[in-house]
Amino acid sequence: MQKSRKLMTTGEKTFQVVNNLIMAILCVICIYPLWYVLVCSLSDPVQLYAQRGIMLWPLGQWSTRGYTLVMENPNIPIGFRNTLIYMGVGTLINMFLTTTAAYGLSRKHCYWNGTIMKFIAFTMYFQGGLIPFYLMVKGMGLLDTFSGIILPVAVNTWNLVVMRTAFAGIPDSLEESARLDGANDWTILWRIFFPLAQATVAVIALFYAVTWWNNWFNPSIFLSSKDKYPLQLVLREILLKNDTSSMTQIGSVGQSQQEQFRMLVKYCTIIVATVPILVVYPFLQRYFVKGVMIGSIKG
Amino acid sequence: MTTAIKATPVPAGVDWKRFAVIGLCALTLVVLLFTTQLNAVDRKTGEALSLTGLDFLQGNTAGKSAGSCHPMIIAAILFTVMGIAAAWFAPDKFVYSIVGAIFLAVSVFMFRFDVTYQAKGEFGLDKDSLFFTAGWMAAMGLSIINLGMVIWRKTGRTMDLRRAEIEATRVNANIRSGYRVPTTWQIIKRDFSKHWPIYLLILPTIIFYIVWCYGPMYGIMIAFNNYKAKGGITGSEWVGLQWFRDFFRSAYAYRTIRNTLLISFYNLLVGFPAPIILALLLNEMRARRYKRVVQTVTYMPYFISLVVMCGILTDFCSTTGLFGEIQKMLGVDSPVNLLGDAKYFRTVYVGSEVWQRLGWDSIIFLSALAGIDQEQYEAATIDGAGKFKQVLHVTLPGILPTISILLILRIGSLMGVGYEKIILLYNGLTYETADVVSTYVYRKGIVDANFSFSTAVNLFNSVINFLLVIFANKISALLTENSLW
Repeated sequence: MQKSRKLMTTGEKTFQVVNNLIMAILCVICIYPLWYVLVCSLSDPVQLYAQRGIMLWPLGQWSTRGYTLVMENPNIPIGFRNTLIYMGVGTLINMFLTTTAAYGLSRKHCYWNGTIMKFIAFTMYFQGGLIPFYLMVKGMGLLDTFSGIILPVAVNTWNLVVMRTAFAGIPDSLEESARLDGANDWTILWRIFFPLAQATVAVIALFYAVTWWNNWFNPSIFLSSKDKYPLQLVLREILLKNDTSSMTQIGSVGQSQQEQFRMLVKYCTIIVATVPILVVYPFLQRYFVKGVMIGSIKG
Repeated sequence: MTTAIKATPVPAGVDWKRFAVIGLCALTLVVLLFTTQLNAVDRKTGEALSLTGLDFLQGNTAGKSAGSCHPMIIAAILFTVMGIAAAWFAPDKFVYSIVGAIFLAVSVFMFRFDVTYQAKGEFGLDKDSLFFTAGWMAAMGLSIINLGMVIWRKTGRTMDLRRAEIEATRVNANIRSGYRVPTTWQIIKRDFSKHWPIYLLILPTIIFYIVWCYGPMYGIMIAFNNYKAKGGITGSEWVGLQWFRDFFRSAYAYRTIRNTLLISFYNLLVGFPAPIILALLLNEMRARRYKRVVQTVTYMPYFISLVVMCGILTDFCSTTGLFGEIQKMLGVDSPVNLLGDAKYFRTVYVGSEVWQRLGWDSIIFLSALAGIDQEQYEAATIDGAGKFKQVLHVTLPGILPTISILLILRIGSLMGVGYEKIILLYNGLTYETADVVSTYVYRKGIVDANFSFSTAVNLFNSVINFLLVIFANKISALLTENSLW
């Protein structure tokens, strides 16, 4: 690296400068929208409503009034709680089914494994469709229940394939020696394969968890009672449907200020709902990146 | 050294069992259609009826749904045709022929069950007077013989192949003969007694797939009938292809298909090269730490959830939002709401999609770039290639396989624009450019509760999607020797 730096020509130097500049602009484009939202959420609502413009800093007196209002809204803590339940229980079920099936399907000498794999892979390319799926959930009596959200998506085929590839890469000798020591498949799976494929397991669990965090569509068609809404659905009510009943607490603000506070609350809600994942993400970044890489190697 | 004898395929000759399967299927077809399947008495008029398969197919039955053909006869006929096609075109594909034969037998059996216990009201026939004639029994018998024939033929061929293989191995390795070739049944039994714990581990997942992936496929049937909650999936009035006709005659067919294709196309046009360019630029960066910061920052938008993303977008696009302010800055007097005008919807959609995915999608190209052998660059430098020429002749060819496979995948999903983001972003004003097939399915099905019509549109879309994936995969296999299966 040092050597090549000395050898840089003028053209290359110019390129480096221009390239770094482009990257800086790109970073600004990626960050600014979020910065804008953050700045708005801390601004003075009255001034913010009057004029916004391209802001770099909060308008007027810094105010955390919006955040207080968000915290007073009972729907948001309920949403957080529900999302945590879906995420916890859902990811556990996901992981259990995915690991067991991936272990079974990665065993090479089973007569039926090829057939089962085809049977599973087919569902990646052809699905029943939205309405038959809905009727299935309805027919099982799972509408408006927690299980109706979790069970229908208990396994993700893509994750299963990735996991199976990881298990298939573990040397057979380990399994054989464990078998000689009298271990059965259950023990081999949890004591040997699970720890050995730890990195992949972590990645897959992370992917499942993120899917649960983002999940809003199935809940929006399957749930009717608001106390089961996951966070994203509560957010949709507030951000996109302008649903005032989701923002009951604003009623305590004077009538004339309703509109101004509603806008402020939107920005604050976005920040409250985004910050947890953005804070966690840089620490998990390498796992995510790894996930993309192993996903790209064909299963 | 003696040359190794290879396992030869089963000796040629007329494979009469295969033609027997085809003949049996054809015979079943004739029996199903032209013999009398049912003798009965009309409940209202007391008139004696004798119905052939053709009557069931055309719907010439008495009762309220006269004019609706019987699904089970259709299924039976479909599976006999499938049996013929399988035996003719893929004689050695066990799965096709056996699935065809099993389903044929099941459909013929179900037909009786259905008519006797479920559909008697529909047909207006007296239960006591239902009498299945020799035609039905012949069809049933033929389909069972057919099943047996398929299994017999297949096991015979498997055994021949296995014997030939073992014989070849024996000759090559100079082992004494006398080894007993195991039959398929023995292999299956041995496999199960040895591997049952493994199958037990897979079982819950298999159940999941049967219930939640194949169960809905069964529900596709409602695309061909007029689904009513009372009649259920099988019992509702049969309407054939009416919903498909309705869809293609409406103005929505053109609009939704056009929008789907255009949105995918623009997304491909902008969203595909952008991450490649970003990856190339990142790859050229010298400042390591700065590079890592750029990566972290550009990956970040991917982690904003869809709902929040769309919330931010609607706010920015409003006349007083960020984009409105930018328009004012550029000298537009009365800024437009970008999401309230059909002209701009695709731009907003594709733009936000690229913003969110740009960094994330570049990861895969970065890893491909990291895999390029550094010696190639050194060799290129010695040959006098400048930086630009190196990119052109070393870097790009190095990541070409990745590019081509991803491109093919994207083309395979051309008709598969997801509904989630569009549902969150569109409104009545932008339907003209925003409404894609999947959102139309959602609106008709979930919002208007027009289940059958929605399923029909969805089925059309899924079939096209499926064909596109197969097509893309074939091309990929031809060009790059990489394929999905």
